[in-house]
Amino acid sequence: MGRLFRPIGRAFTSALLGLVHLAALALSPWRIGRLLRTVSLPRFHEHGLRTALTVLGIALGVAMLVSVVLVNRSILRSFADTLDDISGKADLEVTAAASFEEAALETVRAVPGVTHATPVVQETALMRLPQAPGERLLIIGVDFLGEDDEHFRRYDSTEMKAIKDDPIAFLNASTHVIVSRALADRFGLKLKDTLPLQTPTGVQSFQIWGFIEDEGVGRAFGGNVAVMYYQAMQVAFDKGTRIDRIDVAVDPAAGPDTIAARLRAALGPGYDAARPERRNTQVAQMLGGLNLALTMGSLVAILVGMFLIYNTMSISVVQRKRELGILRALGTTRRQILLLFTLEGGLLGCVGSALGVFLGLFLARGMLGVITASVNEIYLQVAATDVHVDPVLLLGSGVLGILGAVASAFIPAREATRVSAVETLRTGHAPKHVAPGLHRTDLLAVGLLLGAVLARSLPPVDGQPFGPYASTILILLAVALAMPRIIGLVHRALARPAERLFGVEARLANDNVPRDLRRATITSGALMVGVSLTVAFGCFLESFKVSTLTWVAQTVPADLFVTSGARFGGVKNIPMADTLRDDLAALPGVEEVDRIRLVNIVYRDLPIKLLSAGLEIFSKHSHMTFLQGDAETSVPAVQAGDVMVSENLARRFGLVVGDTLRLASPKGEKAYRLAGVILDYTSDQGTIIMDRATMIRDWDDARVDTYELYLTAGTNPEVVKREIEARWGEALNLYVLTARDFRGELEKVLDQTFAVMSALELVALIIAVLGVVNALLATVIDRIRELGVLRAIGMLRRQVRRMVMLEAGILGVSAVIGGLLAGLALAWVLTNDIFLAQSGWYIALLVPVLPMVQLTVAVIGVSTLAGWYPARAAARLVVSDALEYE
Amino acid sequence: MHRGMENPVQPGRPRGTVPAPLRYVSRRPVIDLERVSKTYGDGATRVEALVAVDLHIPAGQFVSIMGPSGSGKSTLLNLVSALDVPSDGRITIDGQDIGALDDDALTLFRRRKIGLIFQFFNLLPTLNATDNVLLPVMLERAVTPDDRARALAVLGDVGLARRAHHRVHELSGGEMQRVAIARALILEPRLILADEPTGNLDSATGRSILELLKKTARDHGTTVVMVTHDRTAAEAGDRLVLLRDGRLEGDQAVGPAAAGGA
Ligand SMILES: Nc1ncnc2c1ncn2[C@@H]1O[C@H](COP(=O)(O)OP(=O)(O)O)[C@@H](O)[C@H]1O
Ligand SMILES: [Mg+2]
Repeated sequence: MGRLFRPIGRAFTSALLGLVHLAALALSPWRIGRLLRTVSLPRFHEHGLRTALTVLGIALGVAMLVSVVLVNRSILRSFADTLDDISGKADLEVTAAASFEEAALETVRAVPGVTHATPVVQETALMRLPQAPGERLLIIGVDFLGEDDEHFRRYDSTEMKAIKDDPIAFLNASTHVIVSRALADRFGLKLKDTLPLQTPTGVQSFQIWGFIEDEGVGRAFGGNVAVMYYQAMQVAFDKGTRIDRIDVAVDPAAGPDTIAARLRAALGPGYDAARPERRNTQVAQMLGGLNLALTMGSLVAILVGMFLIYNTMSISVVQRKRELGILRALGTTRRQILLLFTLEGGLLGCVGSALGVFLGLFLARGMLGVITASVNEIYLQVAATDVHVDPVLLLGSGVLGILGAVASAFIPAREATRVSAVETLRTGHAPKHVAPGLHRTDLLAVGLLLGAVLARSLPPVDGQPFGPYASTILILLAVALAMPRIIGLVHRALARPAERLFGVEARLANDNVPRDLRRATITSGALMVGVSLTVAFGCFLESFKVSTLTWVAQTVPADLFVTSGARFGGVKNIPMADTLRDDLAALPGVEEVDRIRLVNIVYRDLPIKLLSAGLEIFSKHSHMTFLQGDAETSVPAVQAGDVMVSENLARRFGLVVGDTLRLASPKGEKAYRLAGVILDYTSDQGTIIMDRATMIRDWDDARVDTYELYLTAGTNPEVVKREIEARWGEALNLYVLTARDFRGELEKVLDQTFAVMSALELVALIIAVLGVVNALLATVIDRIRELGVLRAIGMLRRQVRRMVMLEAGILGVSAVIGGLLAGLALAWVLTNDIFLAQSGWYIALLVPVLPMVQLTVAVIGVSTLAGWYPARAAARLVVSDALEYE
Repeated sequence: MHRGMENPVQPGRPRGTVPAPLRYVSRRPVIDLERVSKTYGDGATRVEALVAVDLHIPAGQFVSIMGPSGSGKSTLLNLVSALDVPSDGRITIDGQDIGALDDDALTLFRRRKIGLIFQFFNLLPTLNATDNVLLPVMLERAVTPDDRARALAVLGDVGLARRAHHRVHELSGGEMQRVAIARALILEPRLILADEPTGNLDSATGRSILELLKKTARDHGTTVVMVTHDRTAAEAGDRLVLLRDGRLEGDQAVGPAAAGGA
């Protein structure tokens, strides 16, 4: 193993040292640069591995930040680009809560100051091409025969021109489409080829009548885009005479805001007229919680990287006391020393950040796919395929890394200035223990904890819980300050059992831990941060999973779930025209069939879900948890036309039973009385629940996202599932999930959604483990003579190895204890404050015991292994040289 | 004769329990160097630290090694301590060819057969005096109450009965060297090897340490090899070996033995 690692390690170390050299060289015109070169560089070389690990730690932290912000930005950007490609030239768009009757177009056109207005229908469909499995297609239906459309969009293609000149043949069928050149090239599609698409009425064969070039509309949605005549599309997608929005251009003299006001007045309540960019804001807001969580996670990785720099620099100061004494004696001023050490940290930070930015660019490519998949699963369809490289973000992340490094080098640097010119070599220094009694740091820790408690209760800003986030940082700092105490306790507790279990090596290792208490504190403190993040997130995820799955079991207890185009109804699936209900109900063993429809609507400018179900069936099987109202009164009220809302929506808008909710349905504004608030995990934005009859009446929408089947007792769901798949599976691209499948898939989506977060914790842990390697290398160097004596009087190499590794393990034990404490506190804030603020969901905090035990064992094991390299170095010391070492 | 501040009162154990003095009894050398050479580095940086040294030290002898700085004293002592192996030649210690041992065997050999004392930084600062003395035992096996009793007895022998539970940083330089001597004795080694054990001490303290070494050697029949800079210190032993440029330059009897033999 060593043989394989050593050349790689060496190449890596020298590459990083090379970079540090280059950076130092760049500073050489200044005096401090020369000092850096003559004083610091040899030092970096002497401790090449430690320098390299420090740089790597910073690099990993910055890389995480870079990739997270780039991915966040790329997803938003991809959405904005598609919006811009399709509606870029619209000054305003007219929308309702969901789709609306095209009759509104006449009203819009009649408003003075409106120069152009044209209808748009928009859907995402699933392609059923063998060469394009799972690919989705954005289809926009436009009125390209009307003159107004030309103002908004250009399609630039010969076929399109031909169609416009002679539209009759094209308009002859509802299945004629024009696709982007990119799509055609990618999947080898030619003119008049058929393109099978999953639509609400099943798979339909569309026919390609032309191509649009890769500009404007042609490059929207990553190029997976098709254009239809809007009325054809209404037919093909079972949309009646409804459209999704109206693009509007206005007389520049009047200005869009004036016209928007006029439009709102003319259309009446329920309609909205606003700039198209508003949708970007909505999406940004929708993804805000996810983005903030990821960004905070990556900032923690940088924080751990800062611990690493801090530790490296303070080790460096201690080890160079003599050199510092000489420098001071030679007339180097305190300021120069301060600058020198700060610059050293900054230099490591620069190289680390530069490397991190570079690494982050690569990482972002991988991460984009994962995060986009989650967003597509739970929020909306985006086709983010390219990382949008934003130089400002790159620069910002890099600068943050450098500033972090400089800041963390500052305290050790200040200590370096305190070294006097007559500093003597330390020998046989007495071990320091944490003195009993209160210290300044204890008071500070308590103060920080109080601050954390206060910050928790700060109200969210823009819906984002910055206060609770600050509280998490304060908790981490407080526990970090308490680390010396924890280390002291662990040291005392282990004194006897360690020796009994592992012999004298353990005793010596344990004795050694408090000798340089600060180093031990920082090292295990960094590890503590990594552990606490893992603990907090593990607890949160478990709690969320349990809450969700319990809710599913109680509230959505169907035996089979039937959707089209995707596993779940809501975002990715294709709503079905209601053709299956009677057939499904007629299947042997099926007791009842409920029909669920989920519509994306906008309520008070927030994109939420409107859910309809057959309340009679639903309420019979489901044990809804009522937070306001109760089953006896609420259910009949909803059947009579009232609505219920989810817990999170009620919390977000302070809704109480009896309130009136005004929604813009396709038939104009409708007012609904709120009859109940229930536990519901359909959408983290919020859900309004109504009876299916109400939705059909007011929203003219009889489509079905999910058929929920209840089976008669004793029926094997697998048998019914196979039957459904055999009869309609292929034609309707059905996904039939048993209750068991459903839970499994749900868990998978949750895990996938939080996978990046888990990766962030892992990186923080890795950086912290680098810190352990780093600190133990320093410990070994500090004790070369002592190790020489031990070896000389008969300590075997393997005993030395065990001793150093056990010391690393003991640091791991302290880190785990601190990490569990901090982690549980963080988990509390995460679930009760942060998640509550971001999703509006209150979930009960659970601590998964077994994973916590596993984590404890793993962290202690890994930190012990982190001692392997320093241990090997210690064991390989040439005894006679070590004895000569001073 | 010379009593310094470090007055080695030795109530210790009664004389009768000490094994009969072995000195001058055995003719079989306990340390046997045959044409031993040691070179460091190669090419331009090649240093011949020892050149074809022949040296035979019988059991029970107290040998001092002197020579100018860089003459190879430490190198010689390192070889005899089994801390290093010769580049050429053969070293036999207590019948064992050192060159034939691997690192683990060398380490065990040191632990069991050799007591080592250095100029400074001999002790682990995290342990008290007794535990420092017990360190070789701890490395070997779990410490028994008997071991503890023995450690206290040895500490008594070196005059530190009252310092047994002091931390290292609470001891004076001379006391530290006494602890080191006690540690060297704890496993009753055949050899005690000391590299300038008084180099870091004031002369009075140094003398008392030498007295202690001498007495210990006599009482336990232990062979002692000591490197020193100091002629007076060297004359505390039975025999003085002189080194210059890595070669044996002189080898003579000193002290009472020399006086008696002359
Ligand atoms: N590990 C080593 N590497 C290279 N040269 C060494 C080493 N140890 C000792 N030497 C050299 O060998 C010679 C003898 O050294 P040493 O035995 O320490 O002398 P003394 O102890 O008599 O002062 C010196 O020239 C010294 O520089
Ligand atoms: Mg020497």
